[in-house]
Amino acid sequence: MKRDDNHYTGGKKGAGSNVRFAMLIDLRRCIGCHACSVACKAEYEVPVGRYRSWVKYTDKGKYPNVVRQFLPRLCNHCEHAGCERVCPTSATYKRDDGTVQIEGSKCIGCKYCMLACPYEARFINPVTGTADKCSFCVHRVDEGIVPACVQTCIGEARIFGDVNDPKSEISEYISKHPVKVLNPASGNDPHVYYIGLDEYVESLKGGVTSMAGVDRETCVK
Amino acid sequence: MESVVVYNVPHFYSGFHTVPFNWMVAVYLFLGGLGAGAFIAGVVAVYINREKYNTISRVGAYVAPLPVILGTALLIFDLDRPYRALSLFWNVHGVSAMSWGAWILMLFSVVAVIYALIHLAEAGSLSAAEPLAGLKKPIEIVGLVLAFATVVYTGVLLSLAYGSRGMFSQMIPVLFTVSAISTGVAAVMLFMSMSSARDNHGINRLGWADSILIAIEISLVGIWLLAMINGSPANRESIQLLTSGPFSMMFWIGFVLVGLIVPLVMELAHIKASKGSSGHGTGTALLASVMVLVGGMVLRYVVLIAGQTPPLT
Repeated sequence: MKRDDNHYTGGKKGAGSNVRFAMLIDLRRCIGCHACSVACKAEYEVPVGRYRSWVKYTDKGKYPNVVRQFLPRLCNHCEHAGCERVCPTSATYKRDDGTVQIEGSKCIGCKYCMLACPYEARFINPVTGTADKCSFCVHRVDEGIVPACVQTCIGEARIFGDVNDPKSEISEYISKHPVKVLNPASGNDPHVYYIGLDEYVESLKGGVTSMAGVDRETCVK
Repeated sequence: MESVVVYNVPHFYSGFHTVPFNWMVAVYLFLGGLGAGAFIAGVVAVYINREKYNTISRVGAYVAPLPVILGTALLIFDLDRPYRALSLFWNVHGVSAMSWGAWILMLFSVVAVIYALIHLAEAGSLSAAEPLAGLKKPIEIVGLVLAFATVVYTGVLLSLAYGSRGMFSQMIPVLFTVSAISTGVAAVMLFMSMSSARDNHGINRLGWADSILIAIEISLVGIWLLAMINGSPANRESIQLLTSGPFSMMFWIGFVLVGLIVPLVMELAHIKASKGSSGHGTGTALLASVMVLVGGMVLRYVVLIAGQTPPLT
């Protein structure tokens, strides 16, 4: 796989063409460095305590046999996006390239989209009072540049591209590797694919005993 | 000890107080259903017998507007940009329940206020509203349709959202509809038993209606629990929050016992005891209706908050 020029989407532009942007995250290559979270924060000035892109950590085992796994998270830019359906003012919309976007000026901050999202991808931006989330960096993609998190990923765990083009890097990866998506039962047809998600989910079997940053009482099984 | 620890960002969920739809929405779901339910109770009573059940229809008309308007005010207050709320009326989105809901709530509030004014004029306390009296029958029909829409909307609002764990199934609108009409009937019964001009026959009839609604509600809750327990893993996990998880006390005691079983028994006992005696006290009916109202509020709170508690993985 050629990754010599990973700054460019191969001249793909979002609007007008038969393009369907998607992301593939190879969990075998993720080292949990949070470079994606930081690049995203820098790109969008995301307020403190809120994240468009983040990495979930899972620790498992009994000392000294312990393991830590990483799950980078972001908006899944679903084909049947629940957030887009429920938005009462059409502030959330889908572009021709399949990405889900928010028109902040139309948003009234009702949080219905947050209720509809199965991926916890959305939050209320405390500065603007509007819903906010990952946009797949459309302002960069429209100029032919990959999203900030993809460009900065030191393990090259993230691959971004057009899944409608069988010759694109992401399509070749998907054709050669077993890929999975998060929460397929929600029926939203997400477009962020993972390699190695089975191992991640397997590691959670036996019950989560603690969850940092979350009301502890609800997590003890 | 074998253990799994998850570190996640706190932006979405860090306790029951940080869910997207908080207690204010739960109170709205309750008040909206109560107001519209009282309207339905009043108008249905009119269609059964306009002369005999005039008191029920009048109390229903007086009870209806305020809870709906108060609930809508809570919804607007809950927005992060409340000053943009009116844009719901021009930025419409046909597949969004809330886009429909904004129109339904606005129209029903107006109709409910007009209907209350007509009844005030009939009672002779508001002569300024007398010109509206000719509108009474059309307002009843339009109001009944809008009241049903308001009641159904409170459930559909949730059932069309995934809510992070599959709690909001298609049974929710059905359950909320019956529960809302039941709380509406209970509210009318409550005000009738508190008023000085007692209409014992009317209270008994409302008690009957409410017992039937509660009986339907009990069977619906049973069907709902069975469907969820036998549903997908996400359904099962979410319903366990109510049946055995952190919300189980509120669900079993607050809703099932206080909101369904005890008031059903009390209302049936009241109907039996007051048979033949016209001067029977209304204490039982009053207490039962308060319990139905408490149960209705608890149901909406636990379903809304538990449904937004994210799964552990």
